Amino acid sequence: MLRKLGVFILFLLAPALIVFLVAREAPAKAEAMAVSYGEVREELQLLKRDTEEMGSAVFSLVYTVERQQELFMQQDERLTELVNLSSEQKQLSDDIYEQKILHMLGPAHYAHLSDRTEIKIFSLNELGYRGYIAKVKLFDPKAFRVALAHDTLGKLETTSSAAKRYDAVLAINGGGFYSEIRNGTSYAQLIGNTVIDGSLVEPFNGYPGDLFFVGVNKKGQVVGNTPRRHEDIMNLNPAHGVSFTPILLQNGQKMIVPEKWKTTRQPRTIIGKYANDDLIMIVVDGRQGDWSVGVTLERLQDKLLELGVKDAYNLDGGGSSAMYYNGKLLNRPSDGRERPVVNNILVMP
Amino acid sequence: MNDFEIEKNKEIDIPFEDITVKNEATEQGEVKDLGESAEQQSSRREKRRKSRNTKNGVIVFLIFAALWGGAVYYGYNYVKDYIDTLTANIQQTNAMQTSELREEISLLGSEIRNLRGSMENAGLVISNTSDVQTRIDEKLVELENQLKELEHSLNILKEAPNAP
Repeated sequence: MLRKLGVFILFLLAPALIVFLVAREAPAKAEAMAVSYGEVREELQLLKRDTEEMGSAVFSLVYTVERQQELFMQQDERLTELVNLSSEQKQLSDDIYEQKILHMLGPAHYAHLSDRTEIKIFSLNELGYRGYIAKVKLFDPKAFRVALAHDTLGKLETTSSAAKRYDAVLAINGGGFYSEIRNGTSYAQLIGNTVIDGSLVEPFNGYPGDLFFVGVNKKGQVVGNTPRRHEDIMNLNPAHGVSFTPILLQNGQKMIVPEKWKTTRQPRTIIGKYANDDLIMIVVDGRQGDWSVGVTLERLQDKLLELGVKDAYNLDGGGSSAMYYNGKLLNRPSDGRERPVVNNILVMP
Repeated sequence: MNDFEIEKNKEIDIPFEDITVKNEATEQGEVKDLGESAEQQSSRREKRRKSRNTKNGVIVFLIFAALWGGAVYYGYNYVKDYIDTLTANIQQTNAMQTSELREEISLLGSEIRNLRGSMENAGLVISNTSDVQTRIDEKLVELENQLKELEHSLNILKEAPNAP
């Protein structure tokens, strides 16, 4: 009977036992079924931290670069101010220099201004001599040129005629010359070397004396030297130029003038430049007691220094000295009329 | 149930009232009407007892089977509910964690995008800075030239005539 009861209970409890066993293992299996996010989350947290650190680094970089840029912008502005200030100071310095020169020259009688040139004409009234001074700014180097008489070697032509032929606004006589008879006709021979449009019009003249060459280079600056070789001229890169003697001033210093030229009062033609590369052209009348006796080169050197001229060259003077401006001859040539010369210096309007 | 068992059941299936009546009649002197011996009666009683035991066994078996079936059914439901609940909990936990992870990844993605934007911005700023630096270099050259010109101009001014 007990055995039957035991079997009965065993059979009765068998499902419950199975349920118990299954239920007992279920949580463990369920735990196993659960996805483990722990490691993923840890990796994610690490990645997040790395990203945040990188973000901080990038923000720091951006901040630094922006500060740098701001600093550069300030430097840029400061530099711009300095450039402008420097430019203003240069302009001021140039203006003061110009004012000082103009103050020494006195009031201008005539003035011409164009895109190519600025010309101011002043009178020169000193004790015993009179004349005219032309101060020229060349904005276009091609506004300056040398013209052979009738554009031909050996010919002669007055300064006014050459100026009118070229429609020049200003003209003075040029280099020295002498006349000789060739094949039964008069031939005007150039002294020294003459350059037109960058080329010598005659083969290089190596005269051993103190003949200078003076002209304007392709930048519009007055250049000159005492050439001994062809290269000495070409190294100056001249556009136009003429020759004569002597050099009066170089770099603001008086040059030695030969005795025979030093003390004689004559009509003079001078070309020179200021320190700012402005051209100065001077014509002094002479040999006319009631008007102008003329000036010695020594005295002229002093006058030029007084005016602030840096370099000055004595061109062909005497009866050849002539200054033409805007359709008329300004000075009074010692011959009573203009003397035809071998070449002339012209300034275009 | 086979034919033998059906026949057996027919024999066993005697109403209790009849047995009682017959016993009472025997006690009152009507035994001779039946004409049965004592052995036969004892055998019949034995058969009846066996029949009664069999009947009780069947009933017990049925009760046992019902209880067992009920326990199995209950256990099945209990385990099913239990496992379902566990599974649902796990799914819910997984879903929540997945959602959290997705949110964190989304935030991380957003941070990385911001970072990329910042880096692009940094690139632009560096490029601009480089431009400004180039401009500064040009300005320095310009200033140097300008200062040279100023120096030249001042040197020229030194050579000016001594006018007031």
